[in-house]
Amino acid sequence: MVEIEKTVGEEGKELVIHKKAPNHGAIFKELIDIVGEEYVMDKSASLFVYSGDMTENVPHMPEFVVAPITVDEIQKIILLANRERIPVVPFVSGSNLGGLTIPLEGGIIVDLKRMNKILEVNERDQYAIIEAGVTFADIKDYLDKNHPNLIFTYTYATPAAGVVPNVLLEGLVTLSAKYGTTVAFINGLEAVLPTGEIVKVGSCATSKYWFSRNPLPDLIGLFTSWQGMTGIVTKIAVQLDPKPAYTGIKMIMSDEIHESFQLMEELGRAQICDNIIMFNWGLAFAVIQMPREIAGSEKDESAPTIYLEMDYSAVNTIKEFEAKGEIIESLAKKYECGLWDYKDVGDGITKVLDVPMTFAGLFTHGPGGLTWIGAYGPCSQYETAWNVANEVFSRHPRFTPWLYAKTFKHGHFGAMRTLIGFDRSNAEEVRETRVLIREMAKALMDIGYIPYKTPVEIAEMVLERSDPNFALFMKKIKNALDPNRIMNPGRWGL
Amino acid sequence: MTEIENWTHMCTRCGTCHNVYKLKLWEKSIPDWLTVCPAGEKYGFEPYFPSGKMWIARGITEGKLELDDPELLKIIYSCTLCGNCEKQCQTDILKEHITDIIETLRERVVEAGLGPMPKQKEFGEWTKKEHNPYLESHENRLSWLPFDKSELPEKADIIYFVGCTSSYRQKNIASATANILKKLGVNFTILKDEWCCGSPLQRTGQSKIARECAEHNIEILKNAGAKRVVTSCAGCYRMLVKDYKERYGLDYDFEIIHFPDFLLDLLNKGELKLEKSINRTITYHDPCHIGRHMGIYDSPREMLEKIPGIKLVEMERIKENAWCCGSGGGVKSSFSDLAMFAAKERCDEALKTGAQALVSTCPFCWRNLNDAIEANNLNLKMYDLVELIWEIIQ
Repeated sequence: MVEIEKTVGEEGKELVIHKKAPNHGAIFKELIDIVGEEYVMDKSASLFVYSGDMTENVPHMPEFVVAPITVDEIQKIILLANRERIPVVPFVSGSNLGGLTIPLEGGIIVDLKRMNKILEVNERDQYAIIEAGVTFADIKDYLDKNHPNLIFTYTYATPAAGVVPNVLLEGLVTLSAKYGTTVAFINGLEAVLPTGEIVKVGSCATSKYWFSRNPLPDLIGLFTSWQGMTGIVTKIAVQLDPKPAYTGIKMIMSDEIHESFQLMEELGRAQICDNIIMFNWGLAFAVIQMPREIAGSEKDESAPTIYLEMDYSAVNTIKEFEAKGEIIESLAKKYECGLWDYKDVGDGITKVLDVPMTFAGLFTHGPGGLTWIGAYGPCSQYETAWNVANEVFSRHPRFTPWLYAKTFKHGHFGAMRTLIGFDRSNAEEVRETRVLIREMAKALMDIGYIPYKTPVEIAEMVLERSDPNFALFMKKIKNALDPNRIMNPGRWGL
Repeated sequence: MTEIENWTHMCTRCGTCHNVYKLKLWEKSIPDWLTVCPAGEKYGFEPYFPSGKMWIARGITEGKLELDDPELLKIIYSCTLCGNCEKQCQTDILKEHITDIIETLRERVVEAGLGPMPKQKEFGEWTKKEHNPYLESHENRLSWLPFDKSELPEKADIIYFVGCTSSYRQKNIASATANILKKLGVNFTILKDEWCCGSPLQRTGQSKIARECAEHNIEILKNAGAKRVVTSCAGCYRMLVKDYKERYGLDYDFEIIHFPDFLLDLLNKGELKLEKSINRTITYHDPCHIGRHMGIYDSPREMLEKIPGIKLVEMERIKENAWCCGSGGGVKSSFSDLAMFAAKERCDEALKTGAQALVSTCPFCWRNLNDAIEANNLNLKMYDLVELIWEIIQ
């Protein structure tokens, strides 16, 4: 544990500064030798930008920021960090909403943005091998220009979000109803372990093709949801899909919550949608910026309570596409839910439906703070989770409830996301946000959901509720892989 | 700083400002998620992107960062203030003020005696003495004039405000402009005591000197009986129209016209005839100062398309999304590597269109883009729009 030198600012706007390594100057010089003078920073102004993110999590100053461009440079940085026992935190855009790139114990931030090459696209085997800093904008741009018949799924974040962190942290995407979280898109990866070895995991460990994580022992899980604690992933192969010839979106706007969730569950099992997402009136206005007369700026009697969006597509024929649309219509009729074509909902919806979407209304809502509890759980508990989340929000009326639920993997599980926009310049509001986050995590865990991309405090809550041997198992793995505890120390409370 | 304190809190560092923002990506007519920030793309680190600068501004306003931080000067001055980020940011209020915040930071470091960058300080000091930032003598300001200055009347309805870059460096643009005016028989003059418009000073935080320049220029323009002021410089145009009024609160009742707009008006009225053909494929670079900053995108294109023989082809990033040439905001003088990086990228983009020539309407863009063409031996010819017009009518 790196000692804290001081904390500046009042609670809610605080900044933690750690003591520098006794041989700071020598480490700085060595980092320059590794990556070049232009790509190392150690002064406060630069470090401050990496100290925090848009969430309520307490910022911590790193000691260095370094921007390597090769795997060899990353390996050298890791070896140096081991020798000096200095923490290392990987970073691409820092927009994960879990405070996951905040250097809890100071140390070296490794900004991977320069590693932005798409190394290979295999059209016949439908995968792309990309470097660690590739963004959703990069891959979209590259595929459109060079492989227009292929798509990669898209995240619910800004185009500057990194693909590799997103898939390692189980992001939810536009094809989640088919495939699940983005972890499902990983075919294989290359990583520098915390002790400096470079490893390949997945079929690429044995074959020249990065076609699958099977059939070798699946070690990809050693890197997913570990929040950068088990190494730096330098390359990853992600699955691509054929670009559909036909795409469509249908929507339901309703006050009938129970029926809508029943429909959502059945739609998952029907296996026809790429994306199924239920969002509330708050999100409808904030993100999608639906016309006020449709969504309302505050919940009033005229505004529908919930909005169910169903995206579907067909790769082959219009007949296939129309058949899917007919099934959606028939299920909607069964539950007496009225359908809208999305073109009737207003132009603002394109901000979320056209990819890569910016989610502009969320990230840019004004006061500058955005956080969440995102939790995965069983589809059978959608409605309960929805009600529980609303109840927690009702205890904190200063925050507009922003909720959405998503179906994963044809209804095998789902997500409940509760988003909180807050005023980061108001310390008191930041403090209340922290309370709300804890309450929300507890309430969702009480009904069987599990938060993901968790900040430390919530991660600790998760482990407290877990089988003690699960936590012990995690610790053993972490200690085995990272004996000097250099990789993103403090995450998961480990 | 109170106002900017409120603005800086609005930035979540979401990264929307890194790329061209679009809504309907499936539509073929909309370009890809192309990059927009020269400093961010050149240096790679978060602090060099606009969002990083917003966070640094917040750190300063909250007292968590000091102005004398050794890396601060490089970060806040390695920005061309092109304003492309403001076109991509989707946060209301903040998106109007990103460059204002950076300029305010620059003013703060100048007030504290810590800035600007050494070369910028040198041209600031020189401007106080000789009224130009190019370390040239004020008495040589009109040395480019293609005819005897005695031919210039003391007063005229139309005044050509030349600007320093055209007076001392891109004399080709000044000469072409004056020649066109003379050839067309326009009753115009050029002020012998014109000073720097103040743009390079204002943009580098030296607002006190910039204001002095502005006050002087307004006074002499009024004294000369100006009814219309034409300028061939995008930076001067922005200063005269926007900064003089909005920032310094200076009042005047004459009209300021960017020279290509003046020419388009003459062309539409039949007072300018383009009869000779120029058979060339060209692409147009939008200068930040008249494009994003002043909203002039279409008239230079309209003018170019009316030149017989010209085939105008567009680059990927145009109009509000145009990639900056890299010279503005004091970058050309203090971060030549960044200026050259941005200009090279723009020239490469121009070459991709198949154009033989790159045309702009700003002497500063001309200079930096041409430097990149020469340094990289590119098969591209640089023009200002007025040079093409003069080529036709001379």
